[in-house]
Amino acid sequence: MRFALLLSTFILFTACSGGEEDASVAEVQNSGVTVHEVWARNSRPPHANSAAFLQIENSGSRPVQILSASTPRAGITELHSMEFVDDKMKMRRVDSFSIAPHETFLLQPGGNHLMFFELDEPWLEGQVIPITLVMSEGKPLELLATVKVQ
Amino acid sequence: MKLAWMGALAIGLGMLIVVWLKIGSSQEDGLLDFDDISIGGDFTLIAQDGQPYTLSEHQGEVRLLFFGFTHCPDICPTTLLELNKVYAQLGGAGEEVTTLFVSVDPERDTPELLGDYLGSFDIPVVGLTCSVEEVEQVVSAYAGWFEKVALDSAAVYTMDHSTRSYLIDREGKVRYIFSYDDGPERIAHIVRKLLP
Repeated sequence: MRFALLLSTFILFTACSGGEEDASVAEVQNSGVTVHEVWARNSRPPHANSAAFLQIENSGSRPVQILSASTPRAGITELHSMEFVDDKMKMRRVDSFSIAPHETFLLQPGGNHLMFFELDEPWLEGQVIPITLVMSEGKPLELLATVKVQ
Repeated sequence: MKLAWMGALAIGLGMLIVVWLKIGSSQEDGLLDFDDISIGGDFTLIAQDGQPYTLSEHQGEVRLLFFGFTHCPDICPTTLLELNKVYAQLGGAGEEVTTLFVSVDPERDTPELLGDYLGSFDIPVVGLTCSVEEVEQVVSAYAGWFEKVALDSAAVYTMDHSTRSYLIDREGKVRYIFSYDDGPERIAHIVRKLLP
């Protein structure tokens, strides 16, 4: 009985650990797309908005697009690009992000990002935000973004 | 003969590298004087406590000034978080440095909202706002730039803006202009030159 309890605890622990590792990596078979380094920025009151960042690798031979993103934790999610021309920062909403074959596309601070409006409640450090990316090919990517202060 | 030629070439290259490093280091490390091109100057805006803030009335403080807006999803919080690291590097000496966050979105950024937003960053920062016209004058005096741009977005509109930060000495003069790419180590290194 005690052994069974220990074993089930071990299995549960292993499963939880695996879950945490998976939180920042997602893979979709057949489409050749892998997502790494997913994280979201903590929100700042009084604003109910935030942003998320990731790296998406296209190891396939055809371009793929991120067509949209969503999360149950926000009313609206948009794809935003960021452009620096000289010292000027210009942010724009875009319809999609295109990832060329054999390219890793970066969504990072100071650059492209997922933008969230109408958060259900403040996004606090350590929380995990589920995010769905709808791709031009294959199944939607289900991601888990840990909230960080950075 | 060949050996002598190679030796001369090596000495010449070495001298070039020394000169290049000297020029490079003096440009990177030295405080600058912008009097001759008239960047900066005194101004009065409304602080987050609702009171006027006049640059010249805070002589004795070192200031780090930059332009931003609180709805900014990325660049502005990134800059504020980078400044948090600058203060961490400055340690106790950082108490003499005040950050000035001049809103380029005065239509939305009221003093109260600036206070709420900036209060979540753990640095000594004063949010400044005023009428659009008066903010334009300050931004122009500091050779900055901003523009309101309508978006087909939940954000309704965004503010495109310049991202440089200005180091202002105790007399109110601009002594260095940092680019967005300058990391906290470099900013702290330059700021220290104005601290005891």
